[in-house]
Amino acid sequence: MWTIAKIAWRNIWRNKLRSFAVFASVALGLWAGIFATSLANGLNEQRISNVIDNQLSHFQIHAPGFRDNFEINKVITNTESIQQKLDSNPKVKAYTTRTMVSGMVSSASSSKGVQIKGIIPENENAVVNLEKFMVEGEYFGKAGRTPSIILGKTLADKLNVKVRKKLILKFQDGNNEVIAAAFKVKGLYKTVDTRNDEMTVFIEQPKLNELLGFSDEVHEVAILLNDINNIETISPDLKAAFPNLLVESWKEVFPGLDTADQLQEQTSMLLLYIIMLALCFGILNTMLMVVLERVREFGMLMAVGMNKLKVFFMVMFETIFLMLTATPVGLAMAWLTVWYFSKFGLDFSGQSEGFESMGIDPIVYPVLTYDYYPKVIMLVVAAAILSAIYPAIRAVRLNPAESIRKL
Amino acid sequence: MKEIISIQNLEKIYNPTKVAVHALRGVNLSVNEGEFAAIVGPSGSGKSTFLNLIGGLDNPTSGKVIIGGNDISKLSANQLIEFRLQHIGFVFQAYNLIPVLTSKENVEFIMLMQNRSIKEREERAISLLKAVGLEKEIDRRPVELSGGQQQRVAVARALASKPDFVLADEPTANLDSKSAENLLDIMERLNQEEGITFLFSTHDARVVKRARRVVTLEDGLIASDESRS
Repeated sequence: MWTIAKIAWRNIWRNKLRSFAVFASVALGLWAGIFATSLANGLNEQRISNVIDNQLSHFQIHAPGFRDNFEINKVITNTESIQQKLDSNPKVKAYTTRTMVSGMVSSASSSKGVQIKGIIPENENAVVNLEKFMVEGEYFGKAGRTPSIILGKTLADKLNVKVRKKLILKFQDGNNEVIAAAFKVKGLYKTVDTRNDEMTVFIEQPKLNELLGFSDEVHEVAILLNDINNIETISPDLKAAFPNLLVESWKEVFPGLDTADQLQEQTSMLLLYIIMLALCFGILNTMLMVVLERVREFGMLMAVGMNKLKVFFMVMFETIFLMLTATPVGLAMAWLTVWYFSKFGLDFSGQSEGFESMGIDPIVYPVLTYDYYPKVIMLVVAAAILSAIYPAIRAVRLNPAESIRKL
Repeated sequence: MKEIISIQNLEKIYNPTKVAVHALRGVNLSVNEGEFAAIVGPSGSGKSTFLNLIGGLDNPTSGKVIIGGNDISKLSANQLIEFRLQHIGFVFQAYNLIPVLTSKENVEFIMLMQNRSIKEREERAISLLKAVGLEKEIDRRPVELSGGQQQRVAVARALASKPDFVLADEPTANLDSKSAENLLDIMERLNQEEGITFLFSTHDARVVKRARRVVTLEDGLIASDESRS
C-alpha cells in the first residue's frame, strides 16, 4: 500500500496547473468557511456578552409572575435577607437591586414610552458598569434639588434634550394613580445596543420607591458571578436559597439568545458543509478527468497484475492527498486571519447603525476555538473520500484490453 | 519441449446479440517453452483478440486457453489479474510505463505486487536493466528516455515477475529501425540464452524475419503455421 500511496503522491504533481487550481479552491474554500464562521461566532459572542454585561447579568431574581406583564405590585420584599445570602456566596461577584416601571418621558418638544429603572448607582455600576458608557455629563454624583436622570444619547436626541435640562416622567403607581415628576438630565450614555438605549432611563432607586410608595421593595435582583462558567453549578443553590422567588439564569430570562447562539453554531457548520459539498463536486470533476485521461495507464496497471482494490486505493489516495495538501494552507490562512482580526478587530463602522440596532459593536472580533480545526480536517477527509469514490469506481471498471489501446 | 500454452477451439464473437463480429472462429494452437513466435496477419484478422485471450485480458466466447495446465477461461476477473501477475509478462506497443516512476521503480513495481523482498527487487531490477543495456538510466523517468529505451524498460518489466512467457503486442511499431533492431537483439538474446518464451503480434517484417515460428491469422482462423529452424 505504501508504494500505491507513493505513486499517488507523485501522480498529483503530474499536472501542476490543474493540481494548483484544486489546491487553491480547497484552500480558499476552507479559509472562507472558517473565517466566516469565526466572524459569525465573534458577532454572536459579542451580542451575547453585550446583553449579559449591559442588561441581563448572569442571574436575575423576580417575584413569581412579575416578568409575565411587569405588574408593579409583584415585588420582592425581603431584600435584606437576599442581600445577606448573596453577600455570603463566594461565587457571586456583585449584585444590584432594581425597581422598574413603564412610563412616559417628556421634554419640551416630545414624549417617548420608556422603561424607568430605579437603581443604586454604585451597585449598578458593579454589575453592568453603566458609568463606562457615559458620553456626556456624569453618572449621577451629588444630587441637587431636582432628582437626576440618566438616559440614552439616542433618546436624548429624539427628545431634543441636553445635559442639565429638565424632563418629566409619568407613570402609574400600584394604585393606578398617575404620578408625574421632574428630573434633571445628569448624563447621557451610549451602549452598542441603541434600541435598548432608546427605551431605558435610569433614576435613583430611593426616589422611584418614594414615588411608588415602596419602602425597601424592589422588582429585580441582578447577579454577576465571578465566572460565567459557574452558571450551571450555582443555579440549583440559588434556586434553593430563594424558594419563593423566581431565580433564572440569563438563558432562562432570554431563551432566544441561547437559541440564537445554538442556531448560529449550526448555521456556521452548515455553511462549511455547503462549501465542502461545492468542493466535492469540483474535486469529483477533476478526478474524473484524471481517470479519463489515464485510461491507458489504468488498463496497463490491471493488465500487468495490479488488482482492482489497489487501483481503487490509488485514485482514493490521489484525491485525499490533493485535498490534504491544500488543507494546511487553508487552515494556516484562516488561523492567521482569525488571529489578526481577533487582536485588532474588523471595523464595520460604515454600517455601525445597523450593527448597533442589533446590539452589536461595529468592531467585530472573530472567535474560533481550537477544537474547530480537527472538525474541519475530518470534514476535508470525508469530502475527499466522498468525491473520490465515483472516479475510483470508474477506474476499476475499466476493461484492461480496451483501455490499453485507447489513444 | 514442454507445452506452456494450449489453445483449443478458441472462438470470440463480439456483439453476439446484435450484429455479431466473429473475431476468432475456432483456433487451435500449441506453444512450447522457449519459442520465439510471431502472430501475423492483416488488420482485422484477429491478432489482438487472440493475444488478449492468451493474456487473460478478455474472455473467449467458447474454447479453452490452457496455460501451464490451467484453463484461464474459467478464472474470475480477480483470479485472472493474479494469474497475469504470476505467469505472464506484457510488452505493449505504446510502452505504457508508469510515468511517475523511474526505470528501476517501473521494473520493481511488478515484483512489489508479488510481495518480493526489497533486496530481491533491487537486485533483479538492476540486473534486468543491465540485461537490456540501461544500467545508466536506472534513475530516469520515462519522459527522460527515448522510445527505444522506454520499450527496453518495458521488456525488463515484463521479465521482472519471472513469467512463463512474454506477450508482446506490436513491440516495434512505435520505434525507429535502429531502436527496433536493438530491441529485437535483446529479446532474441534473452530467448536464446535464458530460454524465455516470446509471443509477438506484429506487422513488422523485421520481427517476422527473426521469429522462429510464424503463425498467420486470416479472418479469425489460422491460415498458416510455419516453423523455422
